[in-house]
Amino acid sequence: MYRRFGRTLVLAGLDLRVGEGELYGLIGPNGAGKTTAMRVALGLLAADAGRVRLLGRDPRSADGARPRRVGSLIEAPALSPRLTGREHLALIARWVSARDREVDRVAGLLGLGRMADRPTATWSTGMRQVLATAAALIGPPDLLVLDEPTVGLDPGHRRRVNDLLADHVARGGTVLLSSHQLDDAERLCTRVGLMAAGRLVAEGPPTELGSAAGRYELTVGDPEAALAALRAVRLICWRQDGRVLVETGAPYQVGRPDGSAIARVLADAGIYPSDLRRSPTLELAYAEVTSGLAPDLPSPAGAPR
Amino acid sequence: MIRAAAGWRWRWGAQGRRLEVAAWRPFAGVVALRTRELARRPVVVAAFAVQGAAVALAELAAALTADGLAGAGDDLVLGGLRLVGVPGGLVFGVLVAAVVGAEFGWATERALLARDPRRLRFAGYQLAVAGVLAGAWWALQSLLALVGAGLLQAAGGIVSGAAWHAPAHRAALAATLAATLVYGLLGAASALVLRGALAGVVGLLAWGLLVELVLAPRWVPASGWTVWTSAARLAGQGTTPLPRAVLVVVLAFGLALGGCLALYARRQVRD
Repeated sequence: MYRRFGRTLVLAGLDLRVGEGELYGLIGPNGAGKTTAMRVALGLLAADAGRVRLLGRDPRSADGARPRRVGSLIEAPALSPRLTGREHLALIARWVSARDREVDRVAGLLGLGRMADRPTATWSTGMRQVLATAAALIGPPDLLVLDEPTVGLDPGHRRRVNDLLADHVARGGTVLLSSHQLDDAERLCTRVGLMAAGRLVAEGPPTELGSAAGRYELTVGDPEAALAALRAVRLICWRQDGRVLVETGAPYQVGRPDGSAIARVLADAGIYPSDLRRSPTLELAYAEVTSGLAPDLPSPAGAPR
Repeated sequence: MIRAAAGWRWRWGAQGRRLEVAAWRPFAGVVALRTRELARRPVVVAAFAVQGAAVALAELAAALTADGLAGAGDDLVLGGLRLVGVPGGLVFGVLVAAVVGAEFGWATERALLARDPRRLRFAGYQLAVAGVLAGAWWALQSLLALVGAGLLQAAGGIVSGAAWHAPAHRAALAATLAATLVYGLLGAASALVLRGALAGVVGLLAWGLLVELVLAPRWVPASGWTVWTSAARLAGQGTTPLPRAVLVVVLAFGLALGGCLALYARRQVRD
């Protein structure tokens, strides 16, 4: 799909499919188009070109069951300050024609307790985020579209929200999640899409995505000598737990060393590692993409003017 | 438990101390919650209080003035309503623009449309809330005008000669309702189309003050075609032909409603 704001092409041929039962993580730098993609998917915005389907239907069409089947949280929590938390949940429940007992269910899920009876104007930013997440769970929905749901949350609530998402998928639900919490995405998501400049530049299970970038772990007899040899050719490396770690793919790394290059440098110094392996991380895959080290992107064919 | 035709269910709350309004139908429930929220907002309470005070003061002024006010003589109900009914409609329009526009400031529009993308349902919800407010606004003025006049006439020994349900009173009440509904709808439409409280208020004032009260009177062909003069004519003031006054009020209502729904139906939620 394509979407333009003024002269800026925010979605430049994004091709994204989230299957039933998936917990799909959308990650990427600010301005990559994640939130716009979610807005288009939910029908808040229309795509300039392309085909968008939500649960098999046009997301802007009237469908009696849709409000209950799709829970969402887009950007900052949207709350009426003079309603209590419970009233806000009741408002959403009535808007989507859910049963009144849904209010107590989601308030209990996120541990709102007595806080729920206070006006939301008195709530902290984090608790407002929790309340907005609770509102997204009213239905209960089949599909959750959540834009950075754990931003601003304390560790306890962050864990609780993550557990709820995992539980939702375990029960057969589907989640489309955007997040800057890469460790959460790596742990929770069944698939991750890396977005940059309005399109997907990499997609797959977190473990496979991470293997595109990462760091090397070496086991050598003399770590200090190995560090000196590697630093002499300007590689970023350090010692950790008796091993030597060499950074690859980071934005501040000079060149793109691979395993054979590292082995060659060490061999020139008379050092032969007993073990040399890659240590992939989603964070490094993300860094690689956002630093412009990823292969050049194809120009968006068919992009609307 | 009593069920009313409008789809409301009234019951004693779980704590048994206050009457709760529960939603029988979901849409009515959303409107009820929003109305409850509005009743807690100081700006809404203040606007109602100021309008109520304006009605009472107008009647007091009419009672103290030898010839009455607005050509109503000793009829305090007529004098009070003629003086504040139509201006009160414009004030109500400003209030509605602020209330409806607040949904954009809080981004609650985004949260609701993300769950149910039907724009017209959201616009209908906003207009229904404005309608509830309009009913309360009109009822407050009507009640105060009738009760206040009765008290002042009894206290001052003023004999107006008109029963409370006299045709002139009913016309003034109808004019007050017309001004409330039309300016309220214009305020809601302005906020929905311009997407904000401040923009909505400015939009309404630009129409109500600048166009209707400043520019239209300077251009003779337009002067008899404003909501202000037409609503005033319904209350028995001015020289505009009555059919034209009715036509203007109905047209303004229809155009504001149709225009705002047509424009909002294509709303793109960027903010």
